[in-house]
Amino acid sequence: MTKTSFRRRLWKTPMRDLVRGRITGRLDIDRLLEESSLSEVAAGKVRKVVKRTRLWRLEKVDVAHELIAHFLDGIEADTPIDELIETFGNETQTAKLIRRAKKRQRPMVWHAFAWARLCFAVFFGVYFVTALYLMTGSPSVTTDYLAVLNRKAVGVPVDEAAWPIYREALLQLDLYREAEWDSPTPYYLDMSDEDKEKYRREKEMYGGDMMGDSSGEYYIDELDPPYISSRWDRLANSLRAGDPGWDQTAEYLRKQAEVLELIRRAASLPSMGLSVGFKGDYAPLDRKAMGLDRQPIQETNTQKRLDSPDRALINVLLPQLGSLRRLSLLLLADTSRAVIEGDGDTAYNNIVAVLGIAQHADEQPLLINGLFRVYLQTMVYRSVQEVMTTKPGLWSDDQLRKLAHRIAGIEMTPEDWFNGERLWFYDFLQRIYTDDGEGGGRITRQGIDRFQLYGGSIDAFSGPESAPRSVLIVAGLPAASLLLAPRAEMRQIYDGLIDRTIVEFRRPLWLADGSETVKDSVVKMASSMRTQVRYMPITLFFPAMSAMSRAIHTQEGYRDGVLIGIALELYRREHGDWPGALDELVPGYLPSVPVDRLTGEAVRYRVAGDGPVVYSLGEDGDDDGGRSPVDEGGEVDNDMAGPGQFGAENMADEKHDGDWVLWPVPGEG
Amino acid sequence: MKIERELMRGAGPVAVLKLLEPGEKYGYELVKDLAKRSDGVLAMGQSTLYPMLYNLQAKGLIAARMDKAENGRPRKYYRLTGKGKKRLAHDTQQWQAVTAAMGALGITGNLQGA
Repeated sequence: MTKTSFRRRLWKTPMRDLVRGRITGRLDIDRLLEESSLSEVAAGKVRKVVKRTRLWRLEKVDVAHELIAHFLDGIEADTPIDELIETFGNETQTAKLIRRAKKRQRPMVWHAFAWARLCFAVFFGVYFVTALYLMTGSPSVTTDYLAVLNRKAVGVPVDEAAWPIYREALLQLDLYREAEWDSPTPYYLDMSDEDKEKYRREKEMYGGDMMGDSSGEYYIDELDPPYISSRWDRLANSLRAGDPGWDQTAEYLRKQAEVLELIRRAASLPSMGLSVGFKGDYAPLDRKAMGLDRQPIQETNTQKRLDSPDRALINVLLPQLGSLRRLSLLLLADTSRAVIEGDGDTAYNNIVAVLGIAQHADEQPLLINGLFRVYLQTMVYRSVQEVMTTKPGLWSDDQLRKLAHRIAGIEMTPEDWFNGERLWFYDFLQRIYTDDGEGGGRITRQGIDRFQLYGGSIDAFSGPESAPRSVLIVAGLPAASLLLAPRAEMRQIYDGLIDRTIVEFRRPLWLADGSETVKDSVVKMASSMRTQVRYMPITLFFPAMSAMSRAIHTQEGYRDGVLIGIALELYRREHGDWPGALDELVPGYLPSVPVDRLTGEAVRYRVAGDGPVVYSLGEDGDDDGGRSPVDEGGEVDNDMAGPGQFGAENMADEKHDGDWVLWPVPGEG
Repeated sequence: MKIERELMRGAGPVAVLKLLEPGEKYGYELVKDLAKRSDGVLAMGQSTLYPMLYNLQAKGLIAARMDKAENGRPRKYYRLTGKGKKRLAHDTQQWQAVTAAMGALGITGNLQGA
């Protein structure tokens, strides 16, 4: 027997023996074979089989013991060694069978781990192959949705296009010149102490007044003239002679008489005629007129995206809306001036011009354009009220009739606005998915890029990807493909929500049956992790349609109010007193009494000491005598009782109880 | 006569269980008994026997213990477990049914009658 070294015995001792303090060397198969005295051939067979089993060391020892014993038993039974060797079988095959059988004896934990490892390997393999497959797909942009957006604008004849005239007015006004800070401005003087402090802080922080535009960026805004600053809309309409800054404002407006005439002329034309586009698409004069070349104070990711050559519809700028807003506010401020100076014609023409601007703003079938139109029209209704309550005799009967017909004749197609939202979504889909030609498609690496872009984790489509980002994109593709709904489903779900939005919008408010609304559906979608991820573009970007619908309904209610208000005034002029009931206005002054948009009944009417009040019963549906609700701070908040603003349940409590007053709207005029 | 591999896969484990029915045996003993009692038909080498024993052991049908042979050498002995006995009884019935069926078909019957 060969004596083995301590080192070798130590090396060949299993850990469990070492822990017990025993150096057994029992893993030493060579020693076992040596001690067995088997022939070289037999020992070689055993050694080969044991080695090829690739089992754990203790398992190998066990097998070695067994095979050695078999040979020795055979020899002891006088079986020739050659016969034993011959019947032994193929070493490789034996090792394979023994390995397979021995592994079955291993503990359950090992089997669980082995399965997990196998599953992981299979998963990884499939994942990798899928990633390679997905890498081969790329989006194909087949539809120019910008062209669809501009279809109406492109078809406008040159002599009917208002934009060139608006542009001239904007250039003359030079609204986007550098800010002038040195002198206190009229509206600064008119601020509350709290607002002054806030204003000072902003000025210190940014070096100028803050104004957000459609890109979400902030620019230094002009301070002069004050009444077209976007922050002080209410002030612009509520200035009176003697208010701080009134003299400067009136003087400014008088100086701009020619520009104001230009704006009114533009507003009288049938169409806008401005094709919208990406930042670089606008002509130099358009850029100057709309302040597109202004430098933002801070360069943000959004800014970089808008400056990039990416032509996704989401990057289209609508700078004309901001400019038209300024022109409208200028006209409305001039209306205030005209009212004070007793210039009824100018006040009338300004009001009608803003309605023209509102219509021009609606040239692209997008929700934002529609809402902008609604906003301007609401401003007009407030201005009409301002004129009629401060100087009831300013406008002639003829002007009032014409104005009523003009307002009643406003035709809006909110369905087009809702449908228009599909354009950018379809454009988004064609830029993130492949296209199988039948409406289907799978997510692409460019799609992942776009998600990162809009999520703000990358700045813009600029330069080659860095290696880590490429790895991330490749790694993310199969997961995104698995988690994100495929193209056809994504579009189907989105279309379903838009279709339902239109149905909801068309249904009279009093017929709302409490069933799940589009808003409920989107909230539900966003509240489940699975659907939130599956329909991520929808949960991220679906507009607050319910709020949009509400804003439109609210504005329509105020339109009813202003039309009744004009009819009441015409009746009073003819009869010397207010009518006893609204029915008396039909048909001489109104084609019919408008219905209460919240109850479906006729709107309510009563004459108080200071004149008539026309009102809807509001969300709670009870009659509070034409009294508007008040907010937490004790301020009258008429809109609170309007469509869907606060909810019938809340409106029922004493604190918020009230009606939705349509004419005259409290706190306005 | 060399038995087909597939047939051996079915018959081998039952044969081993049967050989262990009277009491425990070691590997070489099983090889010899199998060859002798089956007239060499079910003879198997180490490459077949030991994987089969390990499989039966993994299934809990047999158990093993190390002991010393008469000459003091370590040797592993296999014996039937309770589960193995039940399986043997079950498999025996199955084989009897197969044999009867084969007999009815004139396959094993001819041999018995011969």
